[in-house]
Amino acid sequence: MNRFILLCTALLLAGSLRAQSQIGRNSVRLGVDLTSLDAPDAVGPRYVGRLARHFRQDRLLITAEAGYMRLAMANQPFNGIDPGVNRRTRLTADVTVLADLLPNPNHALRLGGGLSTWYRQDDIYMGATRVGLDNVAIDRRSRREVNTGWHLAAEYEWVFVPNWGIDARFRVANLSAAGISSMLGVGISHRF
Amino acid sequence: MAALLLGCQDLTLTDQSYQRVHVATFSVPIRSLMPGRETYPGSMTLRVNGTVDRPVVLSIYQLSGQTRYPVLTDSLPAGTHVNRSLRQDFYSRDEVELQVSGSPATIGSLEIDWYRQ
Repeated sequence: MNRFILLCTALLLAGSLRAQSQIGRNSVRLGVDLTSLDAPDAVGPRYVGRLARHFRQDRLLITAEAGYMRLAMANQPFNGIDPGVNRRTRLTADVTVLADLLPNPNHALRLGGGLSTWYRQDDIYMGATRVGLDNVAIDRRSRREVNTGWHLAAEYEWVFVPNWGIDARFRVANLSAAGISSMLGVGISHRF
Repeated sequence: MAALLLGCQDLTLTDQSYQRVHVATFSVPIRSLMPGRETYPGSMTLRVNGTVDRPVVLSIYQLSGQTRYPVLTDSLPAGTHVNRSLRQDFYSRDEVELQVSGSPATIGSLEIDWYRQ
């Protein structure tokens, strides 16, 4: 009988210990953002990976994020000639500080901002003209550039089981010569 | 670090305008303009794809005021050309012109990419 009581006590303690286990202070997030680009207007998915360090009982986050985006958009033919697709590539790196406004362990509403460095590689159709009778000249612009700027971020996260959360977020980045990009995305994160 | 990043200028690695000219008729010489640019280039490049049954002459001129200076001239022999490339040192910001001349009886078509960088 004593052994049975001891076993039950041990099981209860084990459950209690598990319930009080600390949520990790780091997290990794994978997600996708629907991202708009500067003119000519284009929107497409940007795949994002993020590492975060959580401070002050999860109320403050410092994150480092990398993303990749590649678009190929067709253009209308000019006099029956295909002017070629617009090819646009982005490699993005962002550092963000986020503060949680909700004092709730399962829900987080975070606002923040930070610095962005984006690499862009564009090959874009600029226009076309007829030359002579049936001939066409197509003007294109090819550019590779590194743009720096800042961004603002808002995100909501629901921790649906300990250490796992899903989130939705909105971001705006101002990248000087590359214009303003807005992003609407979802993701899943794991704490460790 | 933040001040350093915010103070950064955009870093342009390459920025070039180029033109793709589709030529299907050779009844008159074809002339296509590329406007001047702000930064100095280092070279002029032509890349040709297509088939013609007679020789065709490709020329590039630098337009400086009322004067046309020849920059590059090449004669394409009859036949099929795949990524035939011509390159010439070129350092001017002036407007440039591509001229394609062939016999009016020439049959075929050419796709010519030309750019300065």
